[in-house]
Amino acid sequence: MSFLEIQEVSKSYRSRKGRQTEAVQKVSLSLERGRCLGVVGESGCGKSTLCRMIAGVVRPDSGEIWLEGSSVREKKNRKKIQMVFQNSLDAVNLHLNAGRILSEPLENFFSMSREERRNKTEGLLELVGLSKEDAGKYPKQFSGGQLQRICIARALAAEPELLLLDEPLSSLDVSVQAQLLNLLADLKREFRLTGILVSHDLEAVYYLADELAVMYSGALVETLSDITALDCLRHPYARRLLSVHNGEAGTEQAEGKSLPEERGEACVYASQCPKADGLCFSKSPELSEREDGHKIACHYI
Amino acid sequence: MKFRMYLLLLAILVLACLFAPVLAPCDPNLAEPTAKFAEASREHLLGTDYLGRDLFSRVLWGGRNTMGYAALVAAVSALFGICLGMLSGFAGGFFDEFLMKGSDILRSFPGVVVVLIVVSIRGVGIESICTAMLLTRWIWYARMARNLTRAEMGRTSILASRICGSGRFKILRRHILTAILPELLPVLSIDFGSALLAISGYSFLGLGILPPEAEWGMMISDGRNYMEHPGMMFWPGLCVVFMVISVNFLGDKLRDGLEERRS
Repeated sequence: MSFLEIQEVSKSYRSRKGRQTEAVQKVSLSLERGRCLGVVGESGCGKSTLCRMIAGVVRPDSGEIWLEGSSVREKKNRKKIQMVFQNSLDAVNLHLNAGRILSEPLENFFSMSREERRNKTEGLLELVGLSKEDAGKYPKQFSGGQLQRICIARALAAEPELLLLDEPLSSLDVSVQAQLLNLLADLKREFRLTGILVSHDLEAVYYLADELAVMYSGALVETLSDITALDCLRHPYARRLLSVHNGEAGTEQAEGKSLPEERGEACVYASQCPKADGLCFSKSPELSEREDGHKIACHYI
Repeated sequence: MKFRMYLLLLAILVLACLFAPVLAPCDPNLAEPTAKFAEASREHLLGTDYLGRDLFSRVLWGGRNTMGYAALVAAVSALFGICLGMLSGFAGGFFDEFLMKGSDILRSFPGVVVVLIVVSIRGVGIESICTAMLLTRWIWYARMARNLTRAEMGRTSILASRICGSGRFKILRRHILTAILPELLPVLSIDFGSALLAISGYSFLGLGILPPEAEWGMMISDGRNYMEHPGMMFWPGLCVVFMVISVNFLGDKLRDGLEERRS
């Protein structure tokens, strides 16, 4: 069994009007220790829900997620999995200063004296490129990038074995994104972190991750265990992402095919896919291994 | 600065009443029939009332009663309401719905009616008035605290805190309370003013503090019968007005200050 094992997890949300949205559908993944998985997909494809399920704070409707053989929702795994969120300003208590934000996981996971905690928080601030004088500042006094650094420091404070990064860069401007990406790459090397980077930006994922999973509408459509072979991506949706990444205009976009009322068994991408035909609308393709470490969910590839 | 002035005024009033036992020159309830309606003098700074009691001492001691009970009512109802509101908002679901529906029903009784009911059951007295006020006042706090808690619960920071290993109690104390308390403080301040007015008002009507104890509202009521000696109404009335104005002003200022910090 791998370090992290995701077994057919599904999660659906019911809206107020009673409409059911399948956020994540039967996703299975595994990740070895020391590797970093990038999950890409457009907004609303269920990446964040998946991330929260892995963090153990959202209970899957079905399926289970295992970390070294025990469920991620078990209390002993609380410390091992830490997470960085998209909107850093929303992810911290605005009324506490940076020092107190950072000491929260220290209080919960370690028995330290006040003095030790202060030293540790100062060390953490310096680790993420801030100065120890920043401990007294409040969230509103930091820029978005600096606050995201604090969130990263908070996640690292628990000394996690698995770090989840849920769109950590998307609320920042481009130059700050680059700085943070560098920081994350350094930290990953330094601590040999096992991580999951969720993003809609293939470039950031390519820079940081070792493996790749492409998600569309709650399901995995393609996985690649070696991200350097990015050009091997073959699923129509993955190709489209890749062509955007390479600066080509997406030409193959099919439009106008209506989604059947009962999506039921149809392929998640059928309504957008240029190759889709009757089979795609009646039967959902399995994610199957085509080459070593390369899985695709499509009937025609 | 206008604000400083009000703050100073508030501080003087509160401190003077707090130290009434030291500051008051006379026993507030000691009647001197020979010195009825005395003019202001060195002996009686504000003169005396219809029984010859020293008005200055009575204003100070009366303030102790008025402010003390108002503070008690405001503090107890705030404490109870905020705790209940936070729990309700945090728990959500059935408990939350039940509590909020219940408070809606309670809120539909006018406060005056509740006071009259309690007074008719337990008799006239400040304890009845306070009980009745407590019965109705906590609801505002509960509702506000509940709504603020719900808003705070929707933030990612609560999720982040769970991931950081904090338990429910710690989240409530460290994240929700710290976030909602600054919003509730101005309300508490203004509510104290309104409790003060209510206590003086009910005592004015003869439902609250019983003679011979001094209390601002009751002193005003006593003064009504002796309009030719306006000092009896003027001084306690002035204290009530100043107190309420400065407390309200303080509340407004607190709110402004908080809004500034938020932006």
